[in-house]
Amino acid sequence: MKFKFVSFIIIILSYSNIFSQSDNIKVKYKVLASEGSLENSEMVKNSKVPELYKGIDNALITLDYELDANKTNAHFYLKEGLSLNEKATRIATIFAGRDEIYINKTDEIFIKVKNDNGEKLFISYVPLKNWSLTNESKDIEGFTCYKATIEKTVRIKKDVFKTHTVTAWYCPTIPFSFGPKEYGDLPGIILELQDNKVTYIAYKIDLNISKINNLVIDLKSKIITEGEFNEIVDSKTKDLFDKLDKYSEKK
Amino acid sequence: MKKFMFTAIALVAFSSVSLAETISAEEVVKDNKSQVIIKKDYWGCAAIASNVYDVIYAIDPYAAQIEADSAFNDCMGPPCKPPFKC
Repeated sequence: MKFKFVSFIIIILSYSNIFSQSDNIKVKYKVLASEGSLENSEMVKNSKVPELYKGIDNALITLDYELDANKTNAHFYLKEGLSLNEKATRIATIFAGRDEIYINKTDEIFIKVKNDNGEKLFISYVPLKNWSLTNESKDIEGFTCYKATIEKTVRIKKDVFKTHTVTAWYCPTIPFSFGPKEYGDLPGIILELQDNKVTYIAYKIDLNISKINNLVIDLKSKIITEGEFNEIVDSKTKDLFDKLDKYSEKK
Repeated sequence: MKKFMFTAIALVAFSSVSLAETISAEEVVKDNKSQVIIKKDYWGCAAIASNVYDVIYAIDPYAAQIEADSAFNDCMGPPCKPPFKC
């Protein structure tokens, strides 16, 4: 009985020690193909030009993502310094995600930044919250994490949607409700996340950060809604296919 | 002579267009030397771009149109100059 009580006290103290160090956090994630390989995935193998995707598996594992957060704000981004001009890396970032995410829970600001072709788009989004929590657990980097799942519906084209299951492993002993990409709102930080074709895995967790920069987005830029963004996508896609049709007719 | 000029211009014009090499190539034997003439294939480039779009759009429709456009431009190479028509 005495041993149990002492153990309990030690656990409580060690948790409170973690909490006391954890006003800020920095987590680094690597990315793996959820099914082992993107190059061997059906969608790539069925492509008429699979050689265009050669090297994306190797490129994928070189990607490095970082989550900086305090209790209310978070910033998730792909680390700079990568040669995004290299074709394989560019394609790999599409599968893994290129968007920068800014979250301010106090003011309920959720912004996704798309930065392609030198054009930055700031898109406000509504975060997913209907997680199904389970008792299934596993150890990640020394922390006990629990499995949670959520259904995500993605708009592919006008009136065409696709739903897939996202699986997160969150860690209640690190009480930050953020994670890779736009996912969060769980009772602990997400250390592993499987989203469609890729899985983010935390490989470095730094709880002793005194100050974190760039947690707050500069809101001087125009912020658009997801609906407005979809209109931009539809318009640009139409322009693309008009151009391709024009060239095809010239043959 | 005209054919030789055409071959030379074609080789210079497309030496940097790696994607186009997979689209349409014709092997010509001249003076016992084999040369490959690359032909611009608009339909082929459009088909590649369309295929890039098809693979990526389910992941990221916005990136899909950018990458498809980029694949098309890579495939077509630099803006055409005579004797080609674009």
